[in-house]
Amino acid sequence: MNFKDKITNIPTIFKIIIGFASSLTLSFILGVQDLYVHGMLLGSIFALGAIGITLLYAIVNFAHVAHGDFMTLGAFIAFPLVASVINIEYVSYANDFSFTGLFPLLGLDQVGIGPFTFGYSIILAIPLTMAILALIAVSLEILVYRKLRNRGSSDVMIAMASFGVAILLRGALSTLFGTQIRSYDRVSKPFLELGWGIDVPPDLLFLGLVALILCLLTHVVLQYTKTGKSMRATSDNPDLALVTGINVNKVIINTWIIAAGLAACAGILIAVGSAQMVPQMGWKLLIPIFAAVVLGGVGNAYGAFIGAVIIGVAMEVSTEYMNPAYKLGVAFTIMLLVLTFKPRGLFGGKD
Amino acid sequence: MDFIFSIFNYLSTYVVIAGIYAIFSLGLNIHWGYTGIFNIGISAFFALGAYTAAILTSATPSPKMFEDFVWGGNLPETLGIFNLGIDMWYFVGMFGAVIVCGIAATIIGWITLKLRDDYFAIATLGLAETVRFIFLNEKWLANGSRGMYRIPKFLGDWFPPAYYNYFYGLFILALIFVLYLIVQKAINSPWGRVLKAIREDEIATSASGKNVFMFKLQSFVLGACIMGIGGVVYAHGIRYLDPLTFDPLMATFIIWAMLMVGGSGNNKGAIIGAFIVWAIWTWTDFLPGFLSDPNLKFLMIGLLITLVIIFKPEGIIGEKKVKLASKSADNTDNLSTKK
Amino acid sequence: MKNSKKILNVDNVISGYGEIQILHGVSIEVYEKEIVTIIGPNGCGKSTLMKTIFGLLKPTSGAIEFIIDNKMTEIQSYDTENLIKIGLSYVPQSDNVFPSLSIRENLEMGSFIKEEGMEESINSMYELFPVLHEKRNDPASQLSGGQRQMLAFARAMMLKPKLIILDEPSAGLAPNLVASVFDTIKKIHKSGVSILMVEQNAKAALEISNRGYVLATGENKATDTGKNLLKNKEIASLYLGGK
Repeated sequence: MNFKDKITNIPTIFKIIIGFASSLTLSFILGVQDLYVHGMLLGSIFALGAIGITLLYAIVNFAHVAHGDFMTLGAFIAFPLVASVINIEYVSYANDFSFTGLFPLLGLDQVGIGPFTFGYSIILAIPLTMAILALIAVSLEILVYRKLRNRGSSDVMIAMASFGVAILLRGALSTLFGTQIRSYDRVSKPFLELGWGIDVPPDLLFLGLVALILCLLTHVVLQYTKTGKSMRATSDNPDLALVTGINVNKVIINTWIIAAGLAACAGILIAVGSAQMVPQMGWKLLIPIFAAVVLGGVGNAYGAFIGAVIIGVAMEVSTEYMNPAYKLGVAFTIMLLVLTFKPRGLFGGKD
Repeated sequence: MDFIFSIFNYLSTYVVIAGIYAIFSLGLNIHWGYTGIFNIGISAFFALGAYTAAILTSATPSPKMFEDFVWGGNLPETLGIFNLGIDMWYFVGMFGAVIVCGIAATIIGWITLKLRDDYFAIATLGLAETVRFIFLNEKWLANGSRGMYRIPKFLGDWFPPAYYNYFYGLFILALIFVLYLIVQKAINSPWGRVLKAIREDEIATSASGKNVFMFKLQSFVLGACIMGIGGVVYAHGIRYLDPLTFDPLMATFIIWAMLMVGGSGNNKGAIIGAFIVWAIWTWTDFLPGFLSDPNLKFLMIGLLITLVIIFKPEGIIGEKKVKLASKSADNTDNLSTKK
Repeated sequence: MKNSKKILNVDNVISGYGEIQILHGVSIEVYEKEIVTIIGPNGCGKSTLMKTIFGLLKPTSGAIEFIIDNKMTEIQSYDTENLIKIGLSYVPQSDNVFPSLSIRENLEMGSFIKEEGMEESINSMYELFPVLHEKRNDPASQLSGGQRQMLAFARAMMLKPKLIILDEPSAGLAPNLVASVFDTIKKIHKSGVSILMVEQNAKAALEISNRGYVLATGENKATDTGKNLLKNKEIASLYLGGK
């Protein structure tokens, strides 16, 4: 057994741990540990989007271009739930109006609980928004994607349809809410000093934790439930799944529910974390999220998670060395490099 | 008289912008309509074409006028010796734009066209955003978010400013005609037939010994170059550029809607689609209330693209019925998604 | 065998892919506890017939009947789930396991539509194929070709079907593994299930079969017991590779 074989025979989990430990050490040496931790937390939020895209890839076999706009939609569905004042100013329309969000109307208008900038209403809004977006995704599946599949449309045609849906969703949000920058109600809070020169906003810790819990939950569903097993089976071999009596359409609907739920949560977390939201934010999020999917190996949910964390770290750490405006460019460059040298990603995926 | 004059003015502006979009639509038709490659980063080539032409042809601005400094090669002066009554610098700018777009397309295509179709789509999207960020942030290059203005007119000295749009509109129509002939010729050549074969059935085309990757790459580069020409025409027509011009809504999505209306795989349709969609786009400005809200129009464009794909994938006014790349019945993939 | 019960009756079936008609009227029948093999040259429609019986292709005319509650019932309109419920099971030609799922999970997928009795079925499969028990937590992609075939059969046996349809069980296997696949088939047959298979490896298949059908250009050419077909000189020269 030569050296190369020895390296390939190390279990993947150890490789990940070694990679993580060595890169973290390196970040301390370079003095960018603060950005590293930020990047990890942001990356785990990206992971929510990336897992959804990769599952849709694995099971429905197309690139869901509207995923970024799903995330935006999630952030905006939560907005009228949690905001105490919602101003609607229509372009070239005289009757602007404003109203109070659902939860503040019910008395839940406190913000700034504990060390956080937000209130309990956000935590309540997350599951509700996930359910609403899942419903929207299932309707789109039935109205659009299933029709196309039954007609035998190519994967690109279906991706194209999701492109139409992406514009549709973005247009709908801009029409309803306008294009100005909005944010949930918040109060400023000091950063938390974790020592070793790492300062993070408490919000980000909370958001990262929520993201991690949801990723774990997805893992449990995929590994141990009948739904998850049927999803993995369909991803492995759709033809065999069919002759085994697995209802592929049902599996696809389950996939949409999971993907849309995770996207909704990611949208809210990103809107809280960056303290702003605009209808066009999702389209730009597509790049880091797809980069994560490609990096982890398309169709590989675990790869997508690790890929998202790597992309998050790379994007944050790059701001130390170059114009922060090029964060997206960093993600895009990583994606191109992976596509050039290792198109199946770090952990192997579908062709 | 004034009334008639203002109508003419309006029409000429309409022809200039719709014509520019028609060039993009024609380029996109090569990608999607004839080869079936899914480019959602049209704005990348729009921006590269427009900025290259602007940078090559604009004079260096006076530092007093602008906060940021260098741009422009001031080609008109450098190329004075070639100026035989033809507007050389315009065509040199266009040539430069085509080269830049061709190089960008070759790089992106080389990396992604061997892989799944959707990787390519995401890569074009990434290119579009990256190009926009570069022009937004590299102020030395093109004045960042403040934009470049006073981009020279094509044959600017020949016409009084009030008539420039009339002339430029006619020039664009002529250019569209030339590009149409070129594309039509290419598509009806053996080369174009291979492209159509790739769109219909990539695996069978590959099995018949054609290098599918090279054909796709050539198609992508050709389409990108035509889009670059569209950018050049835009730069000298509108004479103002800033990164906001290349927002995906106005520089990518709307062009897709134009092609979808016109009918993919039909060059005449692609051109007519641009004129129709732009007519609807501008004329709905006169509607009352929020009906003229541009955001509502974008919603409609998304709806239009989605509905066309579901119900009339060959396009609304597509002349030739284009058979879409559908899987043959004996392809076992079909079994998995069958009811 | 003629005195035992008929469980499958395919009567003059015409079928194909879309516009292309491949089967021009094929009739076969399978009795209880039989192994029936269909042989024939490439492109004669063997696999099409299997797919048509299992409802993956819809016949344009003719009838497919299967025994349900001791009564022959037409099953053309049944969907896959219902076909599995009434006791049919299908093992495709290749790619017949879920490679990234563990062996146990593969077996679980076999009883996807009915979970009760799953544990017992899994245990009886482990008894039948001890190697599957040994590797139960490994992903199926780590199995050898012969073991994969075992797993595929075991998966198809999970709901104790009356009839298993095998599409070229020995296709793509190394020659030394072919014999072991037929041993496996004999093994599962002994547990009381009828088997209908198509097979390129006609001699070996006919040797373990009760009866055989010869199919050519989408039509029945001959039918007899497996032994008689092997002895038939004309058949042997045409379809069993000379000699």
